[in-house]
Amino acid sequence: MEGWDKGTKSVVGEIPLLSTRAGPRDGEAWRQRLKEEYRALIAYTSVNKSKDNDWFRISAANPEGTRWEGTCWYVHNLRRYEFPLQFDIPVAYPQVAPEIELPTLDGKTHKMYRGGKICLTVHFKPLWAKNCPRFGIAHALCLGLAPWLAAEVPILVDSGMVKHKDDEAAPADAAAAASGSAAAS
Amino acid sequence: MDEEQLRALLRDLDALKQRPDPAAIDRMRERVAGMVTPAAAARSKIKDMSSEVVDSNPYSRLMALQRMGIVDNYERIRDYSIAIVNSVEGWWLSSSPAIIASCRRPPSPLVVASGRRRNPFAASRGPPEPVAARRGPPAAVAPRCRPPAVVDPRRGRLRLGCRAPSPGSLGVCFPDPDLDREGIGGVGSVAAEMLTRCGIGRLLLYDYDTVELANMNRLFFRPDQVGMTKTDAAVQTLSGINPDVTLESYSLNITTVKGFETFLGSLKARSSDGRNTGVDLVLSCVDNYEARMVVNQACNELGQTWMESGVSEDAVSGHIQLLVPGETACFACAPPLVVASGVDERTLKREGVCAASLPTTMGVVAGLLVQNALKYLLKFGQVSPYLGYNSLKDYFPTMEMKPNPQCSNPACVQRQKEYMQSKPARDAAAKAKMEAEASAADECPVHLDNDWNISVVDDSDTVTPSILSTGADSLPEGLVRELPTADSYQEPVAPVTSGAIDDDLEELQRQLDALNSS
Repeated sequence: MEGWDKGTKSVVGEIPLLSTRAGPRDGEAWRQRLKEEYRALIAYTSVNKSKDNDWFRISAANPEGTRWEGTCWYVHNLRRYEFPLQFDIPVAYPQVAPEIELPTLDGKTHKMYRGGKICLTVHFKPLWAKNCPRFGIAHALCLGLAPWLAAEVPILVDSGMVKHKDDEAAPADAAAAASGSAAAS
Repeated sequence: MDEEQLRALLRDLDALKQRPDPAAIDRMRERVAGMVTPAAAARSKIKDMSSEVVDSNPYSRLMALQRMGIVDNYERIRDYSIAIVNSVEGWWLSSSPAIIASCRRPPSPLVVASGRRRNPFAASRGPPEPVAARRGPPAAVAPRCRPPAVVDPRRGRLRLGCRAPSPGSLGVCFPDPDLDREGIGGVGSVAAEMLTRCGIGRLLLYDYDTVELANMNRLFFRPDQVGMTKTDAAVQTLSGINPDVTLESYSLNITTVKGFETFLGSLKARSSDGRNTGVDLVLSCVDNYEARMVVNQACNELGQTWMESGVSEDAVSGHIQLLVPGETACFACAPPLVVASGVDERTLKREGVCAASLPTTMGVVAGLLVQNALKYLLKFGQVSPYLGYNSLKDYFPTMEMKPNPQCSNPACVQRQKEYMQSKPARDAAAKAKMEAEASAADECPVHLDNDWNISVVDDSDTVTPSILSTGADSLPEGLVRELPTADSYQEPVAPVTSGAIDDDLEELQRQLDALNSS
């Protein structure tokens, strides 16, 4: 964990570690793991809220808890950029980390695999491998997705790849205004 | 001739427009059908492999292996089934030319002047943002690129724990994901073609991708197949090459729970002609760690022997590995291995290039893989447990890996137990075989005189402990680990923790939903 900033480190310290090594095909053990996942997510969300640093919503999209969906957002230059968030729990979980997807950013940055899977290779996968099975979904969000957003969103916004939702309507308005003025003249 | 025919067809169509005529339509249909299947159509199926040396026999050269005494019975290859898993998630770049251009642009923020590569997730990347705006996720600051690295003590070089696209891959410090996942895609299809030409009985192909123009640097796929699923394109090409091979294609993502069940089921299923059940060998030609772990899981559960292959994202090294559940290390027993490039990493230019991929390296690795598979199935030569390939130095490290008794994969541990239990039976079989060979040898001693008292010593038992001791940690020169292991061995936790969380799942779900909605 050397090289990470103090804030992140202290937050990670507050997320309860998991102990059950079970994947989605392990029946009752997976239910136990799922409970631990929920406990960690609840703790992490509460910590974020208490620090006024709330930045994601996530919930299981199926009763088995193998697919998760939600949103995440990042504030850049006082504007909030929001992205849908989804991933499947892989069969080999927890040996293998979940592959977090931001489908709306697919094709906009090369820090991403096909289908909008963010790149976790260097900054997160080794950490996950080292801490298996103690890390869970909450850790993947905190140490995988959060730094990715912090590094990528500013670049995507500054390069114009990602537009704020208020600006997206703007070109149409501008065009309408232009045609209006043309008609007036 | 094509153009001429098409013109004639067009004239007839125009005539047809004026005056409908069913007979003319039938004639035209026949002509079109004739154009679709060219005169030199694929050959018909051959019932038995013949060793007759004539121009028209596609198997004469293969059957010659038998006549030369390399293979006992080549024709047995028709009884075998092989599954080739070829899930290439790939880089999406191929869909966007604009980004391909930007991908070649040297992304300088990733490399600082000192020559050290920096983590792009360091806060310095991009313009500084106002403190007030810091409301998003915490910006993790990593001043130096230091993912837990694997050190090769002999060389003192850092192997960085990058995503393991293939254990044959080289660690690359910056996370341009397009640098990996690209390596192996070609191997599976080339291996499939080789096996088809060898006349394998049945091939099962797994992939979930479509052919793109960016795949044309690979062998095998043709530009006119762009847009087809890779499995369909492969079946089209392969059935043309050798109609005797039974081909089954599955276009699915094996890493999801649903895809995995289908994968597992198809590996166990009876072949369509009902001749044999299951498959004899699984060849993994996938390009990422996740998919490899899935193949590993499936094969451990089924006790299915499989072979792993990988090409590095810089296309200069690769490897193949034989995995027999319980007998050799499974893929989860130890962190994956990489073939060290053997050249000074600083001399390799890495900034902003797309993943490299050479048809030659892919061809070599596919060749090594299929050769090993043939040796395994037809029982000739020595089957390599692990074979690396470093093309820069033409260096081929080999090694053997014993399974890890503390492997995190329960199915692997179970197979190890079974393997240990079957030891007496194996020993008895080996002894019987030795005796049979000895009795055959006794009949005619090779050398009547033995002036130097040379005798052959049985070393099958004495070798094992030494391999065991070198099994887990020390590696032969030129091989390093790709990912770190967990700090310590985790004792399987008894459900002590169940007391810690006594809420039921619904209660926890409700709590999270409450937090989400507030």
